[in-house]
Amino acid sequence: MPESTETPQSLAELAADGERTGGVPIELIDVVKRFSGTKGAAVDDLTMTIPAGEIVVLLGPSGCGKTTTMRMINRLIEPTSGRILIGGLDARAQKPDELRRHIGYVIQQAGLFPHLTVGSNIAQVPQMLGWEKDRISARVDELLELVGLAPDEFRDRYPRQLSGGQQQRVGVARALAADPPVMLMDEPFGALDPITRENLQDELLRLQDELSKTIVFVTHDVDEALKLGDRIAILGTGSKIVQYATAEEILTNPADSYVEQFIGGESAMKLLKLTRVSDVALEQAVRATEADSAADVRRKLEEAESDWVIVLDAQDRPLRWESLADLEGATGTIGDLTAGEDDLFDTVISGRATLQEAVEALLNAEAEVVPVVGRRRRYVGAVTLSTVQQAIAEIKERERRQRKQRAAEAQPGVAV
Amino acid sequence: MSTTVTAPRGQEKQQQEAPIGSRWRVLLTPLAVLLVGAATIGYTRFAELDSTEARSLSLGFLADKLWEHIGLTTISTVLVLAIALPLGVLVSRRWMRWSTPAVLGIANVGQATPPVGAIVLLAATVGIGFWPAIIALVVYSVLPALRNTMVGLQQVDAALIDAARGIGMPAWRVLAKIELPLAVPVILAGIRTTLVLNVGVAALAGFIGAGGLGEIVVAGVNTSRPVTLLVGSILIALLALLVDWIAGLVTKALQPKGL
Repeated sequence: MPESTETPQSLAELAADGERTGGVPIELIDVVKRFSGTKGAAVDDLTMTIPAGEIVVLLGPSGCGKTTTMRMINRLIEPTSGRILIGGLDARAQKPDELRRHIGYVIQQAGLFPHLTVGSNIAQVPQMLGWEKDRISARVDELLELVGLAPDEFRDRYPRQLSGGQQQRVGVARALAADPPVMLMDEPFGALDPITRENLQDELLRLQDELSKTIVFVTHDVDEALKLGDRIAILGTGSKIVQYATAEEILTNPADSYVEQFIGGESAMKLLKLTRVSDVALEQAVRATEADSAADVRRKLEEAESDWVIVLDAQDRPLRWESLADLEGATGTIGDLTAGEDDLFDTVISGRATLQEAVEALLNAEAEVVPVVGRRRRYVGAVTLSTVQQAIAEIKERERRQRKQRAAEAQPGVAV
Repeated sequence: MSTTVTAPRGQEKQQQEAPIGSRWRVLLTPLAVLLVGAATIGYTRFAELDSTEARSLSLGFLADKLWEHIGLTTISTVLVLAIALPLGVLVSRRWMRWSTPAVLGIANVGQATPPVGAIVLLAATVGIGFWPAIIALVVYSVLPALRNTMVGLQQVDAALIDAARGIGMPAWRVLAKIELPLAVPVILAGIRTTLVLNVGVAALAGFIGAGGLGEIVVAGVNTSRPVTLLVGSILIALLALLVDWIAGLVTKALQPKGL
């Protein structure tokens, strides 16, 4: 019964509660699912908390119960026993259909309705929520824009006229239609070619940067899990949690041989791949704007004993490098300097990029330094080969320490 | 890393443009029907007919019988649809799936019964005339419509239904918005079969005095007048062709876009 109190009684009210767009936590408490006619439980007494605004990956071999676990969250499968709380609200206390309209659902191969246009596919949930036409069409265009598809070009197409990757972009847009706090993604990129898959994974991370939804992501692809998951739950038979930790923890400190086997070798390279540029200490170049006077900047450079200054625009976005030599004898502002062709940036990397990508960018770039940008292309620092080297060294060191520690724990009494 | 993707543009056009010449080819069937029909009627006007033949081949009589035949076919088809569509939907619901073999089995009995047998049996039990003939026609042709409704609904990709449920569609909306539109091509194929079948089987209704073009054939047989028999048969065949042609057009028009 909906009451007009301050505390929302359902996910629908929670989602409709003003401008709340971020995620909410999900708690599974002693959840059991037994299918009739099968031995043993598909999900055997699972308890886990999925923190708000994080991507949690359920990783495990096929048949381990990870999809069943996910489908219990939006009640496509009803648990035999146990409780599931979404944003602190019991999922069982809410009408399944209404609950699901506020839980984004993305499946393999997108599951778009082939007889409906892209726009109509996305509009389904808003229609069911009784939005007005204008609001729906504005939302459809906004979502298409968000997932990188030009609305005018794609709105009236049918799914068959799109590539697999484009279809899944629409699938994500459809799931986001009512701005749900929670998204469930069941191997969404499993059927795509490797390049498209990587692209969409990057897109998802970019979207998540903006939206901070709580995302439950099911996959059996280890690399995908390491790349996307803020946290990874490695599941064994019966959806038993073998290890529930961040990717780094799992790589450097696998819980047991099952996890080690599942993750496979090359953990150091995988670490490089999953460590983000924003997670390591960046170089800080001297900053300047177009309006700064050249003389002031020259003084700053001399103080910092640096030869280069990074010129930013009004929104802190990097424009170009200026060298001390260029500033020599210059009067007026930085903006007055004529920029040489080679001063302009051909490469900037996002803070979301991996160290592996940073190395790639450095090897390909003309410069030894590549600026790093964060949200809205804002400059946050710069990366050099030595930045990466240092980060690698740190990871190796940490790994070594933890291995020693594990060995000590495994053989108590033996001095290491 | 926001990449705006452009889809291949050519794809659309290829799918929409029909092969050259199909526009006038669509008119081939009705033209042929018209031609043969006119020739047949024309023959009955100008050939020398005896009084028996003239009576059963008069324009007024032919029109009456044609009209009755269309009535028999239309009413029985409407009844078949009224039974087969809801029943097909009902037995293909998840909680009714267990009944599928039984329903198909019963419907199969109807199909396996020879139509003449059914009509005669009904005439013996219910009586002769229009309505017993309608019942026989319905019993006989409910199967293709029912089976196609069931098959049409069953062949809808389960992942789509899962997606529809997963985004919060109630069951009735999944049926109305997803399952039925996607089943339409198969269901329509069943209806088309039913219709054409009914035109042919309705001819047998002539045996129990239900009217229709079958009566002309029966008259031809009873009076040993091959011309009468032939004209009746030709008209039935032409009507079946025409009905099939119309059903084809409707099928094309109702085909969901984007498939």
